[in-house]
Amino acid sequence: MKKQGRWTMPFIIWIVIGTIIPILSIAYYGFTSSHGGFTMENIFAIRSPEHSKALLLSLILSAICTLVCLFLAFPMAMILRNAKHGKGGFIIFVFILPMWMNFLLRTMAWQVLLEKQGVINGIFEAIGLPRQGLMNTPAAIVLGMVYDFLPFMILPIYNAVTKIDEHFIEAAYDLGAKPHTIYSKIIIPLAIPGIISGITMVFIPALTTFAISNMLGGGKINLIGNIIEQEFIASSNWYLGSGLSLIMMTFIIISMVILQHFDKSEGGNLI
Amino acid sequence: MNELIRLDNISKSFGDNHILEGLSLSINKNEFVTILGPSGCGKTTLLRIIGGFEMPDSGRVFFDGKDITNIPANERHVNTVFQNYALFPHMNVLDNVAFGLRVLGLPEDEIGERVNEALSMVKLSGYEKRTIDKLSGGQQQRVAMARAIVNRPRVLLLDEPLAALDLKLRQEMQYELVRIKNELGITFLFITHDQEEALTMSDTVVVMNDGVIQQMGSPESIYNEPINAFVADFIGDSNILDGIMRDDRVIEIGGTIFECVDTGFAKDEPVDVMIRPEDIEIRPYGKGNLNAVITSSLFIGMHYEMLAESELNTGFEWLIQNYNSYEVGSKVGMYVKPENIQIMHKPKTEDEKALDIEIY
Repeated sequence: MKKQGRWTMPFIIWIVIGTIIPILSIAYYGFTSSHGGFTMENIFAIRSPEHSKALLLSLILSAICTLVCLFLAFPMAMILRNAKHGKGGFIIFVFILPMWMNFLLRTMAWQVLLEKQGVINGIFEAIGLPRQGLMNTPAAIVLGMVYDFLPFMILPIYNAVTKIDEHFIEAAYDLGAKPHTIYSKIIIPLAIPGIISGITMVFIPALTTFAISNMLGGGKINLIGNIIEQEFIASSNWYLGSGLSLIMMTFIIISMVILQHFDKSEGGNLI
Repeated sequence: MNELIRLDNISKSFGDNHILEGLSLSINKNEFVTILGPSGCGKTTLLRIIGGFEMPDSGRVFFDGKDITNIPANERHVNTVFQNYALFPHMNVLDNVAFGLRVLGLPEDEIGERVNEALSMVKLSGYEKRTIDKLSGGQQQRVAMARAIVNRPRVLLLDEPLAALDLKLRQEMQYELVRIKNELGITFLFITHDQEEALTMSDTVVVMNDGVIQQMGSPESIYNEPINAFVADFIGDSNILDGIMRDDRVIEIGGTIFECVDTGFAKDEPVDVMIRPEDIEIRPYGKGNLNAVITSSLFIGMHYEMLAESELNTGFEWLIQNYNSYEVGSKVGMYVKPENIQIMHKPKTEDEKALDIEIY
């Protein structure tokens, strides 16, 4: 026991420095007014139309992004599962390859594609369609999010579905099940742990992002991440920024509790 | 017609690997048929073709007179008990057993009744709410049985279902399987590499090797009258020797003449000879067919297992089973009754291992 204790020490130090101290300092700033002293003002600031609109938009866009990723990743993972031995691993590798590039660079690439004078509009024009204002729209932000976060959805789902024993599927088939029953009763329930961690790993960064919305929203579309960033950087108002961060963390915790409820049957634990 | 399943000239390859080659087989209603063979002999592929999980490259599968070769597994009146049970890990016992009935869309109260009936048949009443990981291997095996029989299939396919159980449980389940089969009155097609299982439970044993049926018949006939050296060697312990038919009812084995009961072989035809170790009688020196020296003796529970070498120095070690022990080095006479000498044709070519054997 003592020996094990010694090995866990670095991790305990890490948790203290990396998790506990930051959260405590955000909580301290969040509940402190700019003149010092306790206040709930920074928390209630979410009620201002500007802030609540940004939070709502963040929740909607990250939910859409998560759903799109899920609907792209699940069939993809099933195709890879059924791919001939070795092939699946290669395709996964190809999908993950863009992650080797800098995340900002990848998002910038979408700017080039989506601009009024960009590649996609050039194609539109070539086939006789008018140029569209693709940039600075919620759709562009969702596109950027999906592009950046899709691998985080594919990997856990792929891992989960490849672990499903082929015999379970054969047994269901043997018992008379049609393909849609096999999906709804066998494959999806057994892939739930992977789906849950995929959702977690996409939804949380999508909810908190400010870089993607900055670059593809042109500063016109503010997500909650942008507001918090502005408070910290532009306004140097750490108190309000921390207060809004606490609100965002609350929403993340709520979403994880909801997800954990779905995962209960698998006995998984996320928090 | 008593025939339920007929396989007609089935061939199946995976790449260059020929698994089944022109296999034909007929299985009767209410029969307990065991397909017995070493691993890689094609028995599991054969089962999967009947279950609908593999398509034969050529040949047809008939079920109750109808061609079902192209009917998918989920539309066949056949259910499978898988080797690793393949119980759905996210469902409890009840949901596992009820799966096939719910797929059919039966009303829940009828499903409940039939699940109860199936669980009581496998002696697992009261286990409905248990989760699969809380069950022992033997209990999982029973749930897998219940999940298959609850659908009232005409044929139950069992893919080495006892392989993962320990000896005691395996023997118990052998009796259970026969009881369940008799209660249900359906056909069981059982796959195993364990000859004891095959001999204990079956009405008919089909011995397979290299994708070809070697012999098919009752357990007694397979054991007592193996058709070739492979079957003789695979079923039970045996002494397999080269012999020469000197005449009708006269065989020469390693320079010694034995009396036998076989006729119809060509004069001086080389043959394979099988003598079961329990059929070798030990007599006083000089009073048997040949004299031998005991070279090893082991007590293995029921009897002693001894090795003996002929005084003629043929280089062959005879395996002898006897209730009495003879000391190593003692000189004895060995005697075999004529009817206990089984004479078998030698396979002339590799292809002839694939003897097309007429059954019954």
